[in-house]
Amino acid sequence: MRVLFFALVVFILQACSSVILEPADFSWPAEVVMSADNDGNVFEKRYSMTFNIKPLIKAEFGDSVSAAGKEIRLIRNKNGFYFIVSKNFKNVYTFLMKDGKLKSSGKIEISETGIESPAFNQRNNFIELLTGKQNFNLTEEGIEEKKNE
Amino acid sequence: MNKLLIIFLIVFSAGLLNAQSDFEKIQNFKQKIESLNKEIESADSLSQLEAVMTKIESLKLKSEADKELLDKALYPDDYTKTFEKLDNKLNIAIQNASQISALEEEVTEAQSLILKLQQDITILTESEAKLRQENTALYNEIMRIKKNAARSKEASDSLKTLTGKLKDLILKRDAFIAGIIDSFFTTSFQKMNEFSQTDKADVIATIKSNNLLDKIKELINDNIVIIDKNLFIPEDLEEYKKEQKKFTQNWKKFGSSLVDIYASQNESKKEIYEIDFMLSEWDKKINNKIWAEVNSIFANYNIQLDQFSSGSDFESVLINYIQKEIDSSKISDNIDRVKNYSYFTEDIWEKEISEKWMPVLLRNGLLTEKQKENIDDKMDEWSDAMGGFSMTWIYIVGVVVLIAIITFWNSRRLKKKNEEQSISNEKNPV
Repeated sequence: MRVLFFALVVFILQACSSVILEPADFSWPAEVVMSADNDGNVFEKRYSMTFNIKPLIKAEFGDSVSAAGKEIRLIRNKNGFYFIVSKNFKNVYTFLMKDGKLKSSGKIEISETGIESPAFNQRNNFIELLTGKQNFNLTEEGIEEKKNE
Repeated sequence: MNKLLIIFLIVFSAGLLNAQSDFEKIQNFKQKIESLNKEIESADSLSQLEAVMTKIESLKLKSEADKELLDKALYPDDYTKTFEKLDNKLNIAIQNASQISALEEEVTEAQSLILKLQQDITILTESEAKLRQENTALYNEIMRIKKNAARSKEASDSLKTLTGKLKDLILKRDAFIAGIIDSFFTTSFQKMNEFSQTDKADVIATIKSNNLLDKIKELINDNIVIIDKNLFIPEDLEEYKKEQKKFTQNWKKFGSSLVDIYASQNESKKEIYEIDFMLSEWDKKINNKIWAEVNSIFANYNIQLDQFSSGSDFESVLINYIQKEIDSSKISDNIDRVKNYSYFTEDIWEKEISEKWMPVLLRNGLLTEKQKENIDDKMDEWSDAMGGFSMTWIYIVGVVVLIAIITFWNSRRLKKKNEEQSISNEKNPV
């Protein structure tokens, strides 16, 4: 019983010592557009980030061969989620940083035929996706609102 | 139906505008800024830069709505900084273009000046050539008459008139050449630094085609001949001296500019140095003539002095002479030494030297104030040695004595007359 009590105190103290900084805003003012090199790596200068898009291309198209030279559009929302899309993608992918990797946190289905000319805009509480036909207000949880252009 | 279509189009196009990607907006903005930068760099006139300025203002107005987005997207700059940079660049370009434009104007002005100068010089040199012809004719006439001048009074008078005319003509030519030099100096030579190589070549060509340097040499030479041949009256010497000074001053400015222009032409440079030398010869000749005139005054009064041809010579020769006179006065007869002193001071020094030549010598820097003071001191020393006497004093004393004798003789005569009158009255009482 004493041991249990001691463990509980340690847990509570540890919980008290974690610091939370808020409010926080991770939003980027605008999307960035990056082209993958032959190995499927993309580089972002301003935010100093690089990652490989081969797994994403494979997830979207079923193979990663076409990753080289592929142009992807990336934006980060207020909550720190990354939104990625590319031409002819049917979905918008959301990611979070974890252990030095980008880990998919969701997939938002947009078009059955693929988006012709996608683009992200940063808006107050959501990411606006332009497709050339329709606009979508997105959050990390999915489509907030659909609008016709 | 039509109205509906218009409304639909407006809504549709507004929708399209709204649907523009921020990324696209940013890229467009960056491209426009880049393009404006390039336009500023490539603009080569003020009007082009003014057009860029209008474009910048227009971009400012159009992009104002996206300022917040651009502020963040243009990191590390922001919207305001981006335009500040562009404006600064534009202002610098405008300043440079203004300077270039001003320089271009100056070049155009310089070119038109050269053209005008060439025309002026051609006119002036033609007139100068006529004057030189007259000059030569007059000179030959004077030389012809001079041979007979001693024999006839008529020839002598004629010589005097012609010599005066020649002097006027020479001065006129001096003024003409000075005019040409002035024309160069006051117009183009002040701007010589701004002249291009082509402009300088034009100036050289003008100088050469008008034989300007030859004319200057001829003129100096003619002036020297007049001095050498004694074709002047002594009173004119100072006028010649003034003329020489003025000419030399002009030449100094003109000549130094010419040396710059002729930097690569050794032969022409040699000509310029030759003129420098001739000018100093001209000056020396006038100075020697002035000193010769002063020498001749003493000789004409039978005062034996060593020859002098400079201020320091003049000073030492006179001081030596006066010292000798002071020394000899101690052993010679009183009246003789007073006579000598009066003759020198009153007839020669005061009438001829102090009044006529001393101002000329001082004005033209041939004698310094200090040298004059030294001579005056020596004269005072001589006066002291004479006990302050001079012929004037002797004359004054003489007149006083004469008046005293006459008064004495007169009073005695009156007294005698009165006495005779009283004796006669005593003998014949009324």
